[in-house]
Amino acid sequence: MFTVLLALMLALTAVLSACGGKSDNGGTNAANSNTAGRSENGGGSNAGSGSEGSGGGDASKPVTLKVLWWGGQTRHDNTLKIIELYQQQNPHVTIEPEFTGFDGYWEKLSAMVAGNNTPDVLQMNFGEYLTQYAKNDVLADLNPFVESGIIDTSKLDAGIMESGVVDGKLLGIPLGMNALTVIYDPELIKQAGAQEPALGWTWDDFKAIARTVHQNLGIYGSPTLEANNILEYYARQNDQKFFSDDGTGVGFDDQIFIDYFNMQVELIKEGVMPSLDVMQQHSALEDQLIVHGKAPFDVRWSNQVVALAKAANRPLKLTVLPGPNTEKGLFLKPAMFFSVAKDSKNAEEAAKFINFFVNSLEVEEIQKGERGVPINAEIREAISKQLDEVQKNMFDYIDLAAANSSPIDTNYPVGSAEVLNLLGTDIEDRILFAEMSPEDGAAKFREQTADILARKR
Amino acid sequence: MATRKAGGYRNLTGYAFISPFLIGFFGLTVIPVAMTLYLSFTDYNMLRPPEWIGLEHYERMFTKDEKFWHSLRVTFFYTFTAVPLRLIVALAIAMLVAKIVRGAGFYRTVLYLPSIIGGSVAVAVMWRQLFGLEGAINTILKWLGLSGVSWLGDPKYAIWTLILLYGWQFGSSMLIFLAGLKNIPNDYYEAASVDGAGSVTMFFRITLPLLTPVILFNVVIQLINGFLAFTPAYVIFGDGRPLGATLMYVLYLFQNAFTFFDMGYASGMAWVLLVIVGLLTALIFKSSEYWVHYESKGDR
Amino acid sequence: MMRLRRIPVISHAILLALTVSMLYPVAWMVASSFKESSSVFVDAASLIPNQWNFDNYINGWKGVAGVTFTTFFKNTFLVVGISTIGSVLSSAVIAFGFSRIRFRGRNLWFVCMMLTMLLPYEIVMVPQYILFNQFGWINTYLPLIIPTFFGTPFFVFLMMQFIRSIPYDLDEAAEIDGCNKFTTFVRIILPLILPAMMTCVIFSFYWRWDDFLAPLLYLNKVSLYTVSLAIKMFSDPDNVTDWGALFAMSTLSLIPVCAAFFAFQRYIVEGIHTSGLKG
Repeated sequence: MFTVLLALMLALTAVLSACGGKSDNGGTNAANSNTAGRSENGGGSNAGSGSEGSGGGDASKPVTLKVLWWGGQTRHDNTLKIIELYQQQNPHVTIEPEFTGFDGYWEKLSAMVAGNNTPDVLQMNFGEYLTQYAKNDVLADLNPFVESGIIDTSKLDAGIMESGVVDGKLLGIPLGMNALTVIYDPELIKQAGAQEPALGWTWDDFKAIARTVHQNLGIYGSPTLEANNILEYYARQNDQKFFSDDGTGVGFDDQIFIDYFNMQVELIKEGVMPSLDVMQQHSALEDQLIVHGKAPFDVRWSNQVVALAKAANRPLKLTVLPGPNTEKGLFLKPAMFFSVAKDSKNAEEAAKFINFFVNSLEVEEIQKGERGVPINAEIREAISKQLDEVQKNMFDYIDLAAANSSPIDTNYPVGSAEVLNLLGTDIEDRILFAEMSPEDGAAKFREQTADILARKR
Repeated sequence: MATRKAGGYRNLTGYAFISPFLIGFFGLTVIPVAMTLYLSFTDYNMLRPPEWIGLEHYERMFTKDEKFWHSLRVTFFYTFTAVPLRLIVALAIAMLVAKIVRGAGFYRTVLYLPSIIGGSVAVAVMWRQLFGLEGAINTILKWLGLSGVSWLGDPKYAIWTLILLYGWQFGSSMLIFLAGLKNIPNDYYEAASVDGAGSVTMFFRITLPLLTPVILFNVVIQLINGFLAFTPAYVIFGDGRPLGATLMYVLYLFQNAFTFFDMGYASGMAWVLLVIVGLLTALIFKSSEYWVHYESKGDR
Repeated sequence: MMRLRRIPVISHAILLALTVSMLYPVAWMVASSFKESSSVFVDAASLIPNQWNFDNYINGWKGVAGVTFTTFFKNTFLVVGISTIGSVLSSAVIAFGFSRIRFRGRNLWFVCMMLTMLLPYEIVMVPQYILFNQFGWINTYLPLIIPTFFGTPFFVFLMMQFIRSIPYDLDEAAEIDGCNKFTTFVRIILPLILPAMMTCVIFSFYWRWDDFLAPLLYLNKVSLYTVSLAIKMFSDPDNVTDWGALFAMSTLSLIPVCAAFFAFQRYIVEGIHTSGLKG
């Protein structure tokens, strides 16, 4: 009886230790890619070091690439088709796809990095994610590949490519473009007898329209403006930045903060904007006020228009955010990047894959803008002919935004996620709930941001 | 006879029986657990090796982090409200169901459904709809003549949506109470009613005392569950809003670990939680000597 | 006499009322699964859908990347089934050891076991991942199944409480009849804690059925995914979330768990009506 148990115990220990020592799966070590893969330190000095000729398919040794991304059903299906296509065109490459929903992606990725299991190609986000992964040396510098021509950037929007640069290293290739946009219901605005927003409008115009709609239609004039998204725009249009250049604190004057919030506090008092507890009810995209016809405006990222429009089931239009100085404020943001792991044994092949991804029309024909508006101008143009109404609007808007924007601020220091969390769930809430004045909020935000950033080095 | 090698024999058999636990503990658990303790003294963002920083995290936690204390308060309130709610409802319903013969299976399944749904995204969406400004709950309240409440938006009420969710999912506790109730031999009740005892007396003199082992179990487990509650707060509210009213301790811990890239601090928080809950559990166990009745008269 | 007859009716009434109110949220979810995705929030207040839309189920079942929910359900049954058997049996063995044998260090190990329950999984998961990676278990079901064979503290504790409600005289009687500890365990105690074990089976089933973090971390190939993980992929915060499919698959996901529950709950009921002393 217990001898049996004892034997079992020993057997189990034996089994467990036998399993140990297995090298981690995936990532074969094709001898040829070692040369290209290892020399990625520091800036991109060595042009064409170790890389075989440009173009795909002449490396003969078989290569396995692990590619990781997040998304929904559509994106998964699309990406797998794209991978198929690539494998067909590059028979020596086998791609091991891994994908998850957005929820849990970062937990999974960080566990993989911690376990030395980083995928060769990974989807990355702008902001603190990029900063953290960059500062901790997880991502490969892609500059050498650009210089050697493996990644062709000639048709890629130069401005947006900047967003993937941290400390002079190109750590991610954007897969799509996004910009803040004001989505509005032209019908509602017409009904209220207000003037439709157009390029060149200002915050005063915005307030006027909102008030008119509220007075004449009895609905809200606008939802509250999410500080995490819009405060940066507001700072920029006033010639300032969200974070200071040296990354130690807030980069804009208190007055900017105060003005931004005062505007909303005023409108909430007038009933033109809903109070925070009403805003709290609507968190899902498909549940926003504009969908229910309870407000004529919505302000968010252009990528999210498709879902919003579908839910609203009536024509909605897009325009730039209010000025003055809209062009200073607006910026194109990468929807997401593809990055390469620094210790990938197949960095060159990974780079080739990414090049294929952003420079092939066939890829976009499958995706149809699902990852954002393509950054390759030619492809953008070609694709927009194949899109439906809503998507076309989104593409057109990006063109409009591109013409009326300035480069994105890339100085998101380590700790910016915590700062944004502080702003979005604490300070903004308190001000809009009238528990804190904008002046106090400005001071508190400045102080706490400096604390957080100091702590994070 | 059995007494000679009794001690040695007992030790061996004892260890043999718990050997699965020991293997798992040493092979799979103790190292990760020890690692998290170690990590709490380091600066660790998972992307590069940890760096020792000593007590810095703990210092900040106790002296500078208002969110830490806030989340503790929220969690304490939640646990000490939601757990009694769930247990009392579970026991009451279990007793009702225990008496029913026809359709018992049906009731049991149906009342258990909410527990099964757990903390999925579907539940979160549904719960938000229920408690929305024009949701079903407010509709009922208005129908009763009371005014609706901004459940999701008002910091005073938001936590109650989570408490009610917890109470709604009483099925699992009910099940355990049911099993415990069924374990009480009918003869006891028969004998008591022959002696003239009424149902109230029977409840307090037979049911309750014989249920105490199960009550102890439920109290300890639910307490732990309450303190470790995370998923509902995460899927329904996401980030502790409004105004941190739903910032549960483990939610804040999770934010630190995965949003703020501060796994070291999060590990520290985890161990503080472990100490708190461990102490509370130990207290309850200690007190159990006074109110829990085991038929086996303690253990051998 | 009159009192006795009225009680069941009142009980039924209360239970029925309770059931209805408890079920409303579930009914909402099921009803939403028949609505068109984008209109789920627009007519959230109405329970009955305007049109009964089965597309969500068909679309949803197609799953992701050519892997349908057939595979996901199969995978989940496999993982959940084996881990349930593993955890319930091993926990019973361990529970017996802790509650019936007074051995040196018993309290210490009991405390250790309870302590492991107190750490949130989210904290232990990264070190555990590293450990399992060392074993080479990534992208297999091993990290999900093997640990269950070493006992689940919750189940051990539950069964301990049940074992303790069994009078020790039974054990003694068995020993006098010549049983050793193991035989006593198998022949006497195990049958008597069947309700507790069945309860554990039910818990294990639906916990593991719903578990999403562990499969997320350890499973890389989609063909290995479990239902809970697959459902998560329908929700996409920056794009179109397929609410309809999400609700549809969530509804379907409930069915096996309910069925398992319904099947096993009988055993809890048909517990023991005697303390066994009557023999």
